[in-house]
Order: sequence, then C-alpha cells, then structure tokens
Amino acid sequence: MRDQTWWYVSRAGGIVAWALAALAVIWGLQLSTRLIRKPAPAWVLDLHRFLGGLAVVFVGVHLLGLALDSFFSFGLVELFVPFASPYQPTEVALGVVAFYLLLAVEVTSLLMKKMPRRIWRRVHYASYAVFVLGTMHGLLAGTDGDNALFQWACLIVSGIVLYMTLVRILAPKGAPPGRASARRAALDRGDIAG
Amino acid sequence: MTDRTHDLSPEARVKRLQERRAASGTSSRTRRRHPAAKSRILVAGLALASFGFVGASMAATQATSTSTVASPAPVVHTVAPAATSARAPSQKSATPAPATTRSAPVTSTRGS
Repeated sequence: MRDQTWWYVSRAGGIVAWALAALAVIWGLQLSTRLIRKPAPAWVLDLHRFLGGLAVVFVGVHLLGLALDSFFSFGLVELFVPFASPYQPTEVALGVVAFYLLLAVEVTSLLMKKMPRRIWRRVHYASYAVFVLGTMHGLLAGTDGDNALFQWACLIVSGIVLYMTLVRILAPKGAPPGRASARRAALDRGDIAG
Repeated sequence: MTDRTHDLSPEARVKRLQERRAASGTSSRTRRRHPAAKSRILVAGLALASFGFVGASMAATQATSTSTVASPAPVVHTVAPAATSARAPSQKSATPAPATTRSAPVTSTRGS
C-alpha cells in the first residue's frame, strides 16, 4: 500500500462522516418540523437512523486511517483522549468530544425503548453539539479546512440546520407540525413579514 | 369485486389480515422493519462512492502538486523524498509553519 493511502482514507472518511452526521441532523429536524410534507414519517425516521449509524461507521474509518497512518503515529491515547494529541490538541479534542457525543446519541437511540423518553430526548439534543463540534473540527484541525468547497459545504449545511432549528423553536407547542404552523408562529412573533 | 371487510368486526378484520399476510409469506413485522430499505442501500452506495471520489481527488491533487513542484527535475528518485517529506496535499501544509508543527511532536517514519 502506498505511503499516504491511510492519510487519504482518514481524510475522506472524516469528510463523509461529517456529511452523514449533518444529513442525519437535517433528517431529524425534518421529522420534527415536517417542513417538507411529502415523505412519510416512517421513511424519514428509518433513513434518519441509518444515516446516524453510517456516520458512526465512517468515523471509525476516519480513526482507523489515523491509527494506521505512519506519519502521525497516532495511538489509542491520542485518538480517544481529548487534548492528548501532540498535533493541534484543542482542535483534535473537538473531534474526540464530538465522537463521544455521537456514540452517546447512537447508543441511547438503540436503547430508546428501554429507557425513559425524557432522558433519551435530552441526550438526543447532543446531536446539535455533534454537528457544531464536528464542523469546527473539520474546519480547524483538518488539512481540508482550507478547501473552499468544504468551507462552502459547511456554510450551506450550517445555514440549513440553523433555519430548521429556528422553525422548530418557533413552532407552537401542541400544534401539528408543518410549514403552515411554523410560519403562523413566526408571523405571530413578528419574525417574518406577512 | 366486492369486499366485505367493512361488515366484519375489528377482531375478524385483524384475523383476516393476518391470514392474508401468512398466505403471502410475509408478516407485518418483516414488512415494516425498514420502510426506507431501498433508500438505505442508495445512501450507503452514495456514501461509499463519495468516500472513493474524495480520496481519489485528494490523491490526484497531491500528484498534480508533486508533478508541478518536480517538473524541472528530470530524475524521479531525487524528487520523491522531498515530496513525501513535505506531505502537502493542501495549501495549509504547503506553507512552512504547519509542516514543521505537524512533524515536530511525533516520530515521523515518513521519508526515512
């Protein structure tokens, strides 16, 4: 295998993992906001779960690439302990913490039926932190943080997540989810023009 | 064709439905386990394709920058160590400062 192959595997795995995690967050927000009416909730939920699981798999690929890359000599401590990395410890720690939070979200989702809904929901809110920390990790610690394409992708996806989050917050509690109710709530608060 | 299911009680409806599904060889559990089964396969395929595409484009960018740097040199083996020690697939690592910080804290086996 070529000298830098694991380096490419790690970088590509990290980027794909970030994209999948972002899509999982967007799909989850679609579930709660129903901004797009057409897809059936069961289909969205199933894909949401799959996207989260696939993100974990590609984070594994990212870590495996780092562990096998001969240039950095990343060991288990550097990979799994925040601030233990000799290379950009703070920026790498963002990724380590995001990984743990992603694991917590995934495990609690798998055990959702066996645990109180309230606890599951609180842990699930950590998905936002996973997205923010993962994005910062990619932009600050990664070699591809200077890549204009990646920067634009981060900007656009962050905008979508922010918009959907605002719609979710502004939607009145107890009302059926949907675009109309969210817009009505925003109108009531004077956030958008009628 | 007339369907008399509306005349039946709820229990009888459920029983008839179960009989139909048993006859067709699928249960409600297997039918509804993954409503997005096809989309899952599509997403997994797209993720794998993206992974390959991103990795390949990184390698291609690295190869292009290496050949650009090495273009004046006619002999390949004199160029290779310099390119691998720099390890600069992006603009960030092309600058001298990050390259030194990246290689400083760890034992580098590259280029040896």
